[in-house]
Amino acid sequence: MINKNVAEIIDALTAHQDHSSIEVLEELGTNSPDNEVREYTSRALVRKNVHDSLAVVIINQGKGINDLSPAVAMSTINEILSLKDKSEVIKILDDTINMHSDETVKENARSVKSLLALS
Amino acid sequence: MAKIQKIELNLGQKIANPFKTTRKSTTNPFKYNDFEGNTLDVAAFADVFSGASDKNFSKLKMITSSVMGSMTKLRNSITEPIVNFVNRVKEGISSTWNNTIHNEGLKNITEKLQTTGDKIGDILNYDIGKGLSDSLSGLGKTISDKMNITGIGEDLSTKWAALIGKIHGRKISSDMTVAELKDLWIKENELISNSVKEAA
Repeated sequence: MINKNVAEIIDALTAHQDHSSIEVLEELGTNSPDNEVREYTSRALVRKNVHDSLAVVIINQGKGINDLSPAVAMSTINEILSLKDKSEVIKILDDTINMHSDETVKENARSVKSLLALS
Repeated sequence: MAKIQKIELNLGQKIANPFKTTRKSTTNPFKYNDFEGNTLDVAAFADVFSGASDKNFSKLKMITSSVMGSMTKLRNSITEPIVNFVNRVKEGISSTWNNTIHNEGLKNITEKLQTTGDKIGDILNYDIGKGLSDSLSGLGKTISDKMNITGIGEDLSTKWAALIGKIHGRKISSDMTVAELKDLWIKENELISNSVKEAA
């Protein structure tokens, strides 16, 4: 169970329009040793639905959909699938598939894109 | 001569052996166990403590024996470890609390109380709390300026502001700046890691 205060801080940062909120979420959330904090943060970054926040969870190795914990990765994918406006996600996924240097990240992006097409 | 005859007469008599015991045979095997004719003196049944001059002594003895009896009874009545007992009581309280919270009628009351509490918290937080914090920060600054000791004054005002924030339970929201939220998160992480260390 995620700490209540930490969850509130992540929610507050999600609601923030300030760009630096994404940096804080990436620095303290996606790098947290706690799986639940990483999961909650990844979902929060997806909910923001802006280029920089989505890039954190899609193109970074070991974060978001590329997280080593299957629970974190699946939860992030689920959040991506439930987005109403998927245009920005699809754009980033295409760029990742075409241009990313890491094959695993590319493969994951391809899988998520397939799921988006099916949903 | 008469005297000698007297001695002879005495020696001729059979002298009873004082060490010889005679075993009496009897048909009643309980003869020596019944109290017929062997009743004890009344004094033997009298209060065993009657010999003691102080009456409190007997009272004390009675209390002591009573307490000892209670302790023995208590010891015998404990049939489970004390840890299990405490856990059982804790679970009981927890379930009662959950029942109370999930009860529909009480749920409304708690929600209303929470709303009222939030409102009061907001008022205190943004008006009184902030006012106090500001004025005390100002006071700290004035003192530090007057006394030309910046370190102590600033430290006091910072600590006081933190204390006020803690007392009024400032609600974490997007109204706070990103820097404030980041600091809070770092402090929260420190608290969590400390509690984990303590638990370990």
